[in-house]
Amino acid sequence: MTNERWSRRRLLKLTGGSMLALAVAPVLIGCNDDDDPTPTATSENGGGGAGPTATSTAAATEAPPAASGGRVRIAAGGSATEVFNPFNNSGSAGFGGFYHVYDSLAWLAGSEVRLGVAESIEPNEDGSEWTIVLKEAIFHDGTPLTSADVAYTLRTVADPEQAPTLAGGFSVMDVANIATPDDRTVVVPLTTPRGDFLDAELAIWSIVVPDGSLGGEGAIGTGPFKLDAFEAGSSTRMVRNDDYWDTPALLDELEIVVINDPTARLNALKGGEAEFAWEITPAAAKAEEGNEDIVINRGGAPNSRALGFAANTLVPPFDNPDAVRALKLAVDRQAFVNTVLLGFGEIGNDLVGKGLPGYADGIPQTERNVEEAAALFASAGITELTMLTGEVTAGAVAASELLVQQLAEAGVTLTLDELPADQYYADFGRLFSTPLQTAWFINRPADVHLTSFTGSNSGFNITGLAGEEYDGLLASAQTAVDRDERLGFVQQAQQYAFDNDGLVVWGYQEDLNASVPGLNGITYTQSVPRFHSASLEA
Amino acid sequence: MSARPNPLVRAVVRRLAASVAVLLGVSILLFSATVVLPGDPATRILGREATPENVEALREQMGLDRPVPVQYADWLGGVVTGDLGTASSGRPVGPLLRERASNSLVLAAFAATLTVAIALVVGVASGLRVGRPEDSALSVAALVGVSIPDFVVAGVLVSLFAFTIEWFPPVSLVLAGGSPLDRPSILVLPAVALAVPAGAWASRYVRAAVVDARTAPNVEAARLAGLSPQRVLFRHLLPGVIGPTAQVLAAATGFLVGGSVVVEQIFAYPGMGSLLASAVAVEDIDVILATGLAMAVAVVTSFLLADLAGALANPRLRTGL
Repeated sequence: MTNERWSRRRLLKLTGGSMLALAVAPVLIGCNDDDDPTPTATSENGGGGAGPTATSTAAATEAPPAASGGRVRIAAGGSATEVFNPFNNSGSAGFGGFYHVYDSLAWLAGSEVRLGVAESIEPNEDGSEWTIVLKEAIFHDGTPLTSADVAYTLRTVADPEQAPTLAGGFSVMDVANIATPDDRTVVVPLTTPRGDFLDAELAIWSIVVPDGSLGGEGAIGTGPFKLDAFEAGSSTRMVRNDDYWDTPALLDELEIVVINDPTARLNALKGGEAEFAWEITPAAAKAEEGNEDIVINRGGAPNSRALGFAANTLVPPFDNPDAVRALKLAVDRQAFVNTVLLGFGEIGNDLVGKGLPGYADGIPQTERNVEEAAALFASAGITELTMLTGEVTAGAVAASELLVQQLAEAGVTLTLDELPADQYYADFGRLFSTPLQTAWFINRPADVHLTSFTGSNSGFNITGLAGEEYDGLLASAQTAVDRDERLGFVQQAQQYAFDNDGLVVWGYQEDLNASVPGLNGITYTQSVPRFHSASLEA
Repeated sequence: MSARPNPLVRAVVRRLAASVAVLLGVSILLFSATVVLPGDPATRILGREATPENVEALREQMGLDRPVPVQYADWLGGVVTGDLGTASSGRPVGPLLRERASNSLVLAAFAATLTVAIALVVGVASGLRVGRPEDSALSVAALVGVSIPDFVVAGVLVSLFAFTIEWFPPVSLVLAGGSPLDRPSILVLPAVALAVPAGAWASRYVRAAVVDARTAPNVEAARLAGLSPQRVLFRHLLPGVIGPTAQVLAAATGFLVGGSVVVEQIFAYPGMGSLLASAVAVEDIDVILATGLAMAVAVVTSFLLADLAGALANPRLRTGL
């Protein structure tokens, strides 16, 4: 069942903690709307609206009353080999730079799709062609943004050689026939109708670069900050773009300093070397809870990773539905959140997408029932199990060890087969055939997750969930142009998965960042902090 | 009558040849290690859109379809001619390594100075008081210094000197366009974290050399001649100690190079150690190979210099008598 199109690296990108993963497979992680002070450029119909069409009013901005000026240093992970190329990047530091130097056609704020430099993005009747109309924006060198820039950007991001980690999502575009009828209009034909093209693709990645550019040290964009200096693996310095086409940023300067160790990131914050630490550990967050000099920013379920175990329903013993049911009943989800995540998380209900659009929160929460689990294991003749595990994400092995204890209470002896994290994804054949393994996913909208990791067309279906009925639901969830209709299919697909899949999601590990007091107005898009409207109190 | 080559020259040539052989061996080991890493570089670069045809084409373009010995020879040829390859992002490795190596050199200079100071002060003090309580205390302290891992030393230093008495920054950031010497205070804590285990280890050998030198005839004679203890120490004892411990101090370079991988990460210092750590994390083969080899060159060179120093200090080699 190994799919040769899938590489270990691809899997890591889809499941991994790097921001690259967010770009490869759509991840819908955002801020809570309540605390989002970003100037309103909200779609009228997109995101939570009734249809896929999204329009915005760039003029309708309302910056919060905050002091202007100041410099913010962001401590973030990054690579020494980065080249500031938005089409081919790994590491938080790169994405932190891109989202300030460039603008996107559309972006995600929590569960809401918002428009950036696109005035509107609309499909035709069956979703086979999408028309993008641009706002009047200018690049940092004073040249206006035109449809040619967007057409180039889309062609480049669909090119596997230029954008190896992003091209897959955009392969649905008929790039040879992308048209630019005028300077502000781009028409994008698709090879397959996709009602979710805006929500699932453009809102995830649609950074716009000038025609012919691949970024680099002299990169220019239309964003609220200009790239001032870039040194891979050290820092990315940006200064405010006073000629920004939208409301200019409040901060004078933004600097991303590369610190790969999460403890060192927090140390930098505590030692006055940074004002924002991008991603800290639960243990550190716990330790600093009483520190008044540090503000811990919790991401909640929308900004999280789903953690769990994957039972393969195609191989014994989990080809027996009773065995899957028993496993789900044996798990004490709250104990996992308390022990492994130190409370910085939420319990799961065996589905990915909690807190995001389309999540089936109407499905009753699975509660632990050791007696019933034990009875089901016994009736299935299961007394021993083996699970493949490894520290593929922080806490994975600790969670596996806790599962050993919890299954023991249900009469099953679980043996852990632990692999080094760097070898875990080396043998896909093993992952596709092992009965039980540790699993984790970036929390993304249910439809995006299910089409990526379940169904017959998935390249990495480790639980074996597929079939004509289920595949049909997934296809409908992608193609339906009407958003409500599409979400209806998504709900049905989730119910099917809840009833039949072997995935146990015991919890969601929240993104944890830290900042100095007085740093306000940060918003998030797919876990990336945006400082467009941020201010720093003196 | 043909003159025999000077023994010193012969010793130098021998050591140079041995160093080259060692580096060749290291290069084979390094290359072999990257070959047996799971995964395929072409697949890594092309990512999820890679069709088997595209992967095969890139493998061919990268020369990965050739036998491993041929690939090794090709890589080694590149190294010899100054071409260290390209990172997976497309960035040439050579300039990147030069930039990081210069940062590491600055930190290494600080750390090596501290290492020598710790080794000499602790070793001499201990050796001069052999058998006394002070010797025992210093021996225990040295043992503790050697036993504590770098990252623990670093954590204690940060806690004490960055957060308690706030003398030094907890991270050693070098900003774009800057140099570590713009703010020398950033070098102190990582240098101390590197120097403590290395200096503690070397101090044991210095102590042993001091104990031996105390009974050397020239030292005994100086003492019997009534010279002051300071004069005996600095004029007669220490010169006899430094020669034998040069090798040990060179070996301490290994501690510094190895420790830099951990310590530079902890302090976010942009040197070769942190470069190697981040390259290993994303399996950037050319960067791993170049950085690993550069570190091996650093260690081998320090041994070579120590050997030369030892040879120069040896009258028979120096004079050919």
